[in-house]
Amino acid sequence: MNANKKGTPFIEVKNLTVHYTSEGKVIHAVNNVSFSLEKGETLGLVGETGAGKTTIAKSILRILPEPPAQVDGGEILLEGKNILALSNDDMRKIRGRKISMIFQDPMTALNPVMRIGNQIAEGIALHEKVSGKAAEEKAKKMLEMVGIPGSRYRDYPHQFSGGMKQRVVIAMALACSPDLLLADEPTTALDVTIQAQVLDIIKNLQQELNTAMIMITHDLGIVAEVCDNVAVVYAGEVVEYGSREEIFDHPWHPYTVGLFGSLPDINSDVERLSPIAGMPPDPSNLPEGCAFAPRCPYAAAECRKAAVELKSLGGTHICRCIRQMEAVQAPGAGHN
Amino acid sequence: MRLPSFRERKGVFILMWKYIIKRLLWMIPVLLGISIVIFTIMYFCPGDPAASILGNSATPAAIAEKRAEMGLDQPYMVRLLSYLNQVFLHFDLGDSYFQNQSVMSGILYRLPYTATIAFICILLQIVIGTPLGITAAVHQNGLADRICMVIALAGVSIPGFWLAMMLVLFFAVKLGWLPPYGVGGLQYFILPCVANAFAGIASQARQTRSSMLEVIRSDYIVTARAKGLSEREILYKHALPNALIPIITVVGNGMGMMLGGTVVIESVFSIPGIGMYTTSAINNRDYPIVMGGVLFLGALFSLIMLLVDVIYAYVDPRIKAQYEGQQKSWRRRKKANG
Repeated sequence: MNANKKGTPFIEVKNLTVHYTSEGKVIHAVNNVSFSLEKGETLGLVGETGAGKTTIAKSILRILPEPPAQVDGGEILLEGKNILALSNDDMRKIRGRKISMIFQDPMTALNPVMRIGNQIAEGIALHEKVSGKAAEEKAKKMLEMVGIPGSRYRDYPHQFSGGMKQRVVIAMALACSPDLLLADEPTTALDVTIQAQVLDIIKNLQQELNTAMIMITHDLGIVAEVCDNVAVVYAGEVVEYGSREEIFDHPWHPYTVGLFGSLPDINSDVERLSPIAGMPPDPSNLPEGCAFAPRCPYAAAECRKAAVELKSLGGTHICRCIRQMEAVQAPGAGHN
Repeated sequence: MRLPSFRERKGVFILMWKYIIKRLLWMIPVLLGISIVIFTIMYFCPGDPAASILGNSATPAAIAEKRAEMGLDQPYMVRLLSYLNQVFLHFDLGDSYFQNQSVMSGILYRLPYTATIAFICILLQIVIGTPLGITAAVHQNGLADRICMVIALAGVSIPGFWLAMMLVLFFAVKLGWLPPYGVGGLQYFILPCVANAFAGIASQARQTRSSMLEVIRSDYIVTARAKGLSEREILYKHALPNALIPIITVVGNGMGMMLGGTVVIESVFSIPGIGMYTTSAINNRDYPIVMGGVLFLGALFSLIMLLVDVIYAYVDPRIKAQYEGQQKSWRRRKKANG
């Protein structure tokens, strides 16, 4: 990994906290999230729907709808500079050029009344300050890079299938060779047969352009395939972070263990999946102490008292659980 | 690179023309239907034009004679068929019973006044109402939104005749800047148009606001923002084109209604427009004018709706694809049948 010589990571998120206000209730979407990422690396943000993954990504790009969303604190340092403190004009120069995003639903992410080529060329013309013709040429090249013939430049989104639209979205996101790509469940809305193709396209282009990537997903298979590091997010908190090997070989937090446990196993003959019991906590009314405690088979009285700090488990592996040793060494022994 | 796309566009152009011609042909049964319905209504309508022409002192014998002369004593079917024959095969709307004038020339004499008012009002509606709505949507729940919506609410609630009279009182009677009524140069049109356009501006602003609000929350607006576009570019390049369909519908409807004449404004300002022409004909039982006027309005409305649909196609490629799809499937069906 090409770590920066000065020691400042390419992008660093520090204690990011975001809340939404909805009908008078405060919803704590992201609570004290920190992580960092180098160029060319991929970080997987894993967690259930509503865990705050998309909110994290949108706050990095500063495209959260404000109100109802509000960033309460923390820093997002891009090459050492806090982008949360930038003016709107300066932030616009970063969007699409240094940081760009692939959205979850390709069906709605494209402007239905604008030619797809123009939608790609628009960003190029804006950031690279080139003529319309040059931008068009580059947009065609981008289309071909994602496997769409350049002759379809003048087509509209409704003339494409979902998988093709997602490729257009990818071409659009990568058009200005961004340094950081936020991929928000880029394959969730797609047919299983298309998922692998789209993932391959993203992976290849990422390697080609040496882009850092944050891959948001709830699919551990995707994590295994593309991510270098993994952050497991639960109720707006990072509950476990580590390299892919650390997380996959030694899942530590009971939630992570539960996620792996709920995957169907090809080799065993079971009729039912084993989901994690219970529901994610109401983000407007998070439990005191560990947010996972109500669902945790190992929870003790201690867990419910005070917030749990992240602890290092050696290497880059950190985990937010006080009973981590028991949980892993003697699974099931923690039942009260 | 340019040549195939030009040819492509030419193909689309031809498809659009076919669609337009098809729609124009469809107008024939529509107008036929309108004339049958309006003729039937007038047939069953109480009141006798012969009696009103001859006045109160006429003897029943004279009235019967007059009825025979006008063909009013013929059975329903005969009269209907002769009317349809006259309108659709000879393109003649007939003559007015009371005015020594054909219906067509009566309409054509009044059309310029009505059309002038309609066009100015629609122009005002677009030029003032749309920006008001956009401003309101962009500053949703802010001060600008409140102000725009209060104006819109006032526009919808204030009756046209009251506003018209207030305008006359102030600008014509008190200040003496503008003529209070009548027709003549452009200055005669200012007060009627302002009075008439206010409601249109209001509904235009409300429609624009709600349709912009819907679009602004779309995912592709977030995409546009993520590209680094400025808010202005997002608004005018991405949001507005998507919000246009309902806005165009409001404009089209307004246009159709106003070309039908605005009775209230016409009577306040004594403008010889189509609205007054047809409504007074109803009171007089002047059948040819009523039927001709309704038919004329029907044709005009159909044409405007066609225009609106064609504009839709140019605004939204998905709608255009639908029209072309219809054309293609129609041609395919024809081939399969032949």
